Amino acid sequence: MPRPRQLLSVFLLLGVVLAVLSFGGRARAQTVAISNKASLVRRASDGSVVTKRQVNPEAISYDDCFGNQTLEITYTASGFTANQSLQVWAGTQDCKPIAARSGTTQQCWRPYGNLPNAQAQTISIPVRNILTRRTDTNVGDYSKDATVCKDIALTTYSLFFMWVQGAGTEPIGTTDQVDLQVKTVGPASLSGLKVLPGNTRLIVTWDAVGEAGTVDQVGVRVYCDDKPTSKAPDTKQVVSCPDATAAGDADAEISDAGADACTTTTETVPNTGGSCGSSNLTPPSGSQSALPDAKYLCAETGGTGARVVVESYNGQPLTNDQTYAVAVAAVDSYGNVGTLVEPTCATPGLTSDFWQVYRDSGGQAGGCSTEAAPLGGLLSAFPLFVLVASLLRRRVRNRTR
Amino acid sequence: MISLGFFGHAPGAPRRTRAPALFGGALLVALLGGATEARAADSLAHRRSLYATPQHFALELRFSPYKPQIDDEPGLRGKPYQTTFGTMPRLLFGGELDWQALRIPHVGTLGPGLGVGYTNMSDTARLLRDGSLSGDDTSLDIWSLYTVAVLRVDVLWRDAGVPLVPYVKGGLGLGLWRASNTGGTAEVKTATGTVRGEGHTFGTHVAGGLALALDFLDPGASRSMDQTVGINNTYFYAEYYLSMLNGIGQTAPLRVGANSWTMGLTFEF
Repeated sequence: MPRPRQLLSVFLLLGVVLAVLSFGGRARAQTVAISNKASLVRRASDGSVVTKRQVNPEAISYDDCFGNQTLEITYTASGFTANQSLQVWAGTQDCKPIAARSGTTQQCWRPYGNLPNAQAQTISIPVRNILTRRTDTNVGDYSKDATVCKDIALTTYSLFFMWVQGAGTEPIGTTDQVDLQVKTVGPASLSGLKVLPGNTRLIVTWDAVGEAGTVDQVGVRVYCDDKPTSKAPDTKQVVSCPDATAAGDADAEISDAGADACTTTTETVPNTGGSCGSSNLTPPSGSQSALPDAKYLCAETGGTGARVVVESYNGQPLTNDQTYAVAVAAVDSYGNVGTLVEPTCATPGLTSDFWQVYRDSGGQAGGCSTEAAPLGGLLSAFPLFVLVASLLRRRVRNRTR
Repeated sequence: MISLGFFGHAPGAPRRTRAPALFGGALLVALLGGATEARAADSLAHRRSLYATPQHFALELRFSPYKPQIDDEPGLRGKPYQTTFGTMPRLLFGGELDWQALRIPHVGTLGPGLGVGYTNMSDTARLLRDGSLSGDDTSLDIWSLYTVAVLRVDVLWRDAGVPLVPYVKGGLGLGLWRASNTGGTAEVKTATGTVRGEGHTFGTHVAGGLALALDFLDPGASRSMDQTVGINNTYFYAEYYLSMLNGIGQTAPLRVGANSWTMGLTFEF
């Protein structure tokens, strides 16, 4: 039979245990953890899963923004209560301090509204919302606004997932973040574009930008347009004076006395370099990185190659005697396409290809593949020679014995 | 060295008008002089027989100017080959391996040989509409193969020490050819279909040449090479050949053969 003092001790101990357990439960930290930060699922504007680039697959390029991609982020949370909310903030600096998220010092913005208080959740954040940099108090949806896709040099954007108490405080519990490399500016414009005509093809060359690795260029895109516009002819000012010795171009020195008697006329100068215009290959105004319509893409090459042969346009073979405007732009490892160079025009045509000339001259050969060449016919003669030689050799040896 | 010395002492006045004859004479005397020197050096041929390793094969490295006889095709209007590639011959390089199966005493060796050579001609095509240079390349690749019987008369060198070996070859030839341009194998559309610019041409191959045994220049080095790597003789040779790839039994061959000279080195082992 336990004594009352012992019973009191047991109750006291039990009370302490319950108190500790109760205090511990209330103090349990709020947690959030992003489970797929190493490889975020990307979806195009139509909801289909995007195949990522080979290089810099998790980075964000201009095309990713312009194409209105979304990032799917999966997280798990625990330890929260009803009056606590999970928020996601975007910024190029640490967004955890309250000063970075409010007031005049605010530099972070919210790309997504309050996250559901659930233990596991997958949310889709538009890339445009991440790049908007709008620090509005209220979360805005900019997924329909392509103008947020501006030129951004290589910058790290971070998404901070954090628990806050009530309307907004310093983070409570643990936080987690996803870092995204963002680069929307393409490589520098290429130079030295030349387009030489061939037989139903165009040979496009440009100045190489250097050895692979020295510049961030993984390829070049070639754009063609079969409806070029003729470039306005160049003009120059020509000054004509009564005294022939004083005549000359506008920049020629003319004496003050004779200047009044001179007349200035404008003369047309033929275009050089085959340059021409193309309204279809001109990037839309408003963004340096904007590209022509994909249907004008007529060839691509990888690496730092400086030559490509264009043989088709819009799915059709090039046509002889049809003039095409051609422009090129470099592509970097983030998939950004640089500024298009000024188009150059060329017209494919029949060439003095040997085989064409031979057949046109009445030559009759050709048509049978070398793969089926009767090499055996020739080679069979060799064993015949060998056989004869062997027989002769044996005969001579027998005779000498 | 001997020939240079000979030229150095040749009369000056008649040398201009009789230069070819003098050259030939000088070469002959030089070689005979070399032979004399060789004999004086205790009969090179006899000494070689004491240390020589067995000899069964000959390997030729061949370099030749090559201009195919495409424009000789009967019925052609104009000269399509010359129009496209010009008149300058291209370099054909190749090799030939002979099995010296039979040694005929006091004559030389007889046996079969197999040769292969390759040449390519390429140029920038011009636009037909105005003759300006286009971006297209046009080229013709020719593989020349032949199998021949080879008779090398090395009795002068082996028995008399005169380092000259005349030889003749005769057999069958085959030319594999492919006309191409920037887009790959060339094609021409005709009323009956597309004719691809590739095919083969049969023919005959005959040749005759003269080889100069370089061993007489340095018998010691020659002996050393024989004993270390098994090369019995090394020759510099010049040869004229008739690669008559005119299409034996073929109705419309591309005449990719050529009559030309070739020179190079021959190693017997």
